Amino acid sequence: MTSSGTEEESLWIEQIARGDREAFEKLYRVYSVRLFRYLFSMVQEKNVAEELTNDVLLAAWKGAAEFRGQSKPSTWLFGIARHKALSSLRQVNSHTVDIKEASEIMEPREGPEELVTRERLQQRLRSALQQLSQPHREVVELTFYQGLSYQEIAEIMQCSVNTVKTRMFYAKKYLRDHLEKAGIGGEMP
Amino acid sequence: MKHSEINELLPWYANATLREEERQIVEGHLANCRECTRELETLSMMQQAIVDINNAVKPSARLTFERALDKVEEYETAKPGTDRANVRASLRDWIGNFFSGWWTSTPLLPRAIIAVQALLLIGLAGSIFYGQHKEKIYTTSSASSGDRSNTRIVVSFDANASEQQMRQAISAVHGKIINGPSALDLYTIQVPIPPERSAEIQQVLKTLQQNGRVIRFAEQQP
Repeated sequence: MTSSGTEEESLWIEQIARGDREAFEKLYRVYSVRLFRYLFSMVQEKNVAEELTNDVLLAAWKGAAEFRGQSKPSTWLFGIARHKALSSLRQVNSHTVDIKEASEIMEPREGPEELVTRERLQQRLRSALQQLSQPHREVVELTFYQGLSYQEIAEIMQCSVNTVKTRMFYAKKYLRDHLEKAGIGGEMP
Repeated sequence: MKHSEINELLPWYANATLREEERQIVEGHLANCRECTRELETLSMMQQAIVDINNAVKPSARLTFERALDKVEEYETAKPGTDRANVRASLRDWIGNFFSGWWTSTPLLPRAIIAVQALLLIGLAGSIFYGQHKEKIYTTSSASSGDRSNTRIVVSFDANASEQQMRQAISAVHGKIINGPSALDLYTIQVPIPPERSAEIQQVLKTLQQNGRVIRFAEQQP
């Protein structure tokens, strides 16, 4: 997001605070799917992620007057989304495996002759991501899919930048090991 | 900056969000570090795969702006100070006073009959009130059926058209929505042209019909 894009989005939020439905629609068009995918990566259920997406946007409508522009609109929205997702997860028994535990889960072996296709990489990576603990997976998703800086991620996750970097360090190590075990990325460092 | 510190920054070098000075340091380091160059290749591959994984997750048809807006409207109408919230508060006060007054001293049978009648009345009033307000956003005003200074046009919007596109399409002909959506998803719009000026009305219809991305159907209301 360019700074002019951020300024435009901040303006929409100001307009939303005055009850402007068109500005709300603009914000919705830009963020609904991004928020939905982020929420889905956390709650792993489409229906819930959709419901939460609307909850986040309603919260943005309600809280627009309190938005002071100290953070980017994207950081603000993802912060709300994270809060909603964690509240939702607290209500259900989420099945996440601690990163240490996850590293001991063995994948079924496949013949080395199998070609490393993009589809297979995605399949492996999807499975590995699901086995990461919530905060590790979040850092990966926010970095690689949402394209956020480590400072923004720290703000959203309400932790230090060092924590973000450490989580990324362990997450990428786990993902790399997981792929190597499956015979993908043998050349990886 | 040490090798390990630079290595930590690689994911954000890959997603192009590093500050300029950090980006330059990483680039300088990459020119001489084979390990980090290989890791960057791996991270870029992972990034692409993660983007593909996420893009494959499609929201259902239920994730629409209209639903989000419904939630907003629901919230707005329930806010203290709004018409509906005021009606609710008055009703609550009235019921409170009713129960604390003569009600408690009235015999059981008359009380039951009055309660049933009151419920029916509240239900009726509620349905009328709700019926008037639920399409609030789309119904801007209503013209009398005998209005000879305006012409009504029946319009059907494309299912993928946004509210903004709909508004733009209507304002392009200086129209306003006066009714809709009907059960068939039809809207009635009104343009400030008397019905006898048929050439101008035909021009308006043509303008609407040419906007095929937003409008599927536009005909003068008989």
